[in-house]
Amino acid sequence: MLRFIGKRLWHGGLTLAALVTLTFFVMRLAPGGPFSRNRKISPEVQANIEAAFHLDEPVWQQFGRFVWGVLRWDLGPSTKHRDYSVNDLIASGLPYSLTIGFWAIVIAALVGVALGLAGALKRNSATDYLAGTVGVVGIAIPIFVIGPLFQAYFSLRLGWLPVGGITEGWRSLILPVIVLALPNIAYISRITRTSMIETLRENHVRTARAKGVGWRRVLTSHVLKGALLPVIAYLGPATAAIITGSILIETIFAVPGIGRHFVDAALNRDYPLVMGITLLYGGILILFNIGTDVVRAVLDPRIRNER
Amino acid sequence: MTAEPLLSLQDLTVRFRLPQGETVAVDGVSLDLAPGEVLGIVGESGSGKSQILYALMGLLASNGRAGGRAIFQGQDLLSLTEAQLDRVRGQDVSMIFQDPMTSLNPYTRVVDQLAEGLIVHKGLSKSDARAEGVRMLDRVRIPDAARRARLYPHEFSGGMRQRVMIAMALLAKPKLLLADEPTTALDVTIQAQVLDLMAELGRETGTAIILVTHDLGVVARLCDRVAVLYGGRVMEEAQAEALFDTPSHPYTRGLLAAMPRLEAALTPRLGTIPGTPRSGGGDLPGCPFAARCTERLDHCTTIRPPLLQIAPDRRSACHLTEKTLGAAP
Repeated sequence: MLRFIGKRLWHGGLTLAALVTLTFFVMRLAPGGPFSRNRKISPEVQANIEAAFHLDEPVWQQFGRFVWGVLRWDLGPSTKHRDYSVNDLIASGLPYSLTIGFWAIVIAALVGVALGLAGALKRNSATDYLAGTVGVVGIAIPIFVIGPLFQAYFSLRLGWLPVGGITEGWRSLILPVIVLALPNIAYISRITRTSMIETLRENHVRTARAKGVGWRRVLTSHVLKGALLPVIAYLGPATAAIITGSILIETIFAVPGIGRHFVDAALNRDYPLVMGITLLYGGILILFNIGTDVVRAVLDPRIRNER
Repeated sequence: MTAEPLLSLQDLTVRFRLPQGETVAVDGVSLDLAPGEVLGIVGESGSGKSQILYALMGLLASNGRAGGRAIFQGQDLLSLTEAQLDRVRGQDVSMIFQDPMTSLNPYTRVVDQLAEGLIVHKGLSKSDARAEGVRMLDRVRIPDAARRARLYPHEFSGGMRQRVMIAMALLAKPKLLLADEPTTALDVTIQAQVLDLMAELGRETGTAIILVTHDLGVVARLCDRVAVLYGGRVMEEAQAEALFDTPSHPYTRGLLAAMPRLEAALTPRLGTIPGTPRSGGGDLPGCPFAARCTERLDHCTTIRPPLLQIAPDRRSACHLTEKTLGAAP
């Protein structure tokens, strides 16, 4: 098992290196740069600024500088947010994104799996239809519609919760967490339901029933493991995506997370920030994928033997 | 059959609700099984033979309903609740399934699957139950049983998995073993081994066996008595030797003609039964085989031939035999 994890980590590192390299050069291939805005600046000033950020050096040298920086845990200064290093920006935003993302995925996993199981075990019951409705609504209605609707109702109409911001502690988190969890509840409940129904039809479940060990035991020791494997496979990458922040959630609820940097950094040609975000998201995604593989290998001996 | 039967099927029916209406899979089957006896149920695909076993085990698909009675040791298996059934299943009645590749839990060590029944039903400790499981694996001739027991099913070959299934089924020394085409998915060379093993262990524990198969060779090898099923009805029932020597029903004759024999001269073609096997469908007034029968009489499609006693230990449902017998005794 340790060898398996080691191998996956090594592969993950290679993937991350390739991803970062590719991003670095593709960013620079595109015309324009961080300081080529329509504003009139004298060529001397422009050259000075670019020299300050080492943009006058050849691309290979810049890449070397970037790699050296990464090794020293220093992602360099942001070209857009003056006086802030990329490390600062990530350190200040990540905790908010992490907190909201963590609770959203925990709630999504618990509620989603519960709804999916209930739906699969009592098909065509009220619970099943409720889960189905939540599923359709959660997937079909985008966050930027549900978010403002929730704000309008729970904050403005009922006055229960703050509209946005982060000033009221955990109360500020409730709405963004719920809105972020909703589409995931939908996906997870549907995956759970489908997989559960499939597993219940499997031959080895029939064998277990024929053994007369009781329905509850059949469910807990013969059905659940197999049924939850696809859910776990979904949860890994989904968690990585959610805890690194959502630009929609952070914009709607005025949360100073790092989700907004994903788009802003690219639009502003903030090379160091783009690289930092890429490294962060890529690293987390790869780590969670490895984690998922490890959990699946622990649960399923067939996967374990494959490698 | 003078002794008290171990299992008595009385007018067993299995019906499935389908979107296009109700279909009859098993249509009034009555059979008795003596303790320790090996009964073969043969028929083509879709003849309803497997559904009889599923009905007994309470394992019919959710749209299936069983009717009639199945008296096993004084209680009607069909009227038991799921919880009551769990006191019979895996203890007094066990089942072996057709596909050993998928019938074992892929996530659990073989030994723990064997031990599970003993822990739940007999209250054995985990270590005792495991020891018992290993002993049983040894008896089904799994080499190096103690080590192999700790492996997972995917690390076993098909033949070995089916032997694990047999071990699991016989572990509780059941009075009745239901085997649903246990060797269909196995290599021909393994089939005989597995069957002999099952029969041998069955004899040792005094377990009666109902063996469902479409393979007449298997029946000839193992069974005391045979029931031939077609369209969910028993066409003919006889001692195995008698059935092979003097088949009385046209369908049985067709089946036997379609069976390759070593001793027969090599003919260019095996016999075939014209038409396609009837499977499911609604209720029929006449004989289900009438549409394909080469010796059909006029009233075969309109009047259902009763299953008549035509000799001691021998029953047949055909208007032809009815005619040759004259008035039924």
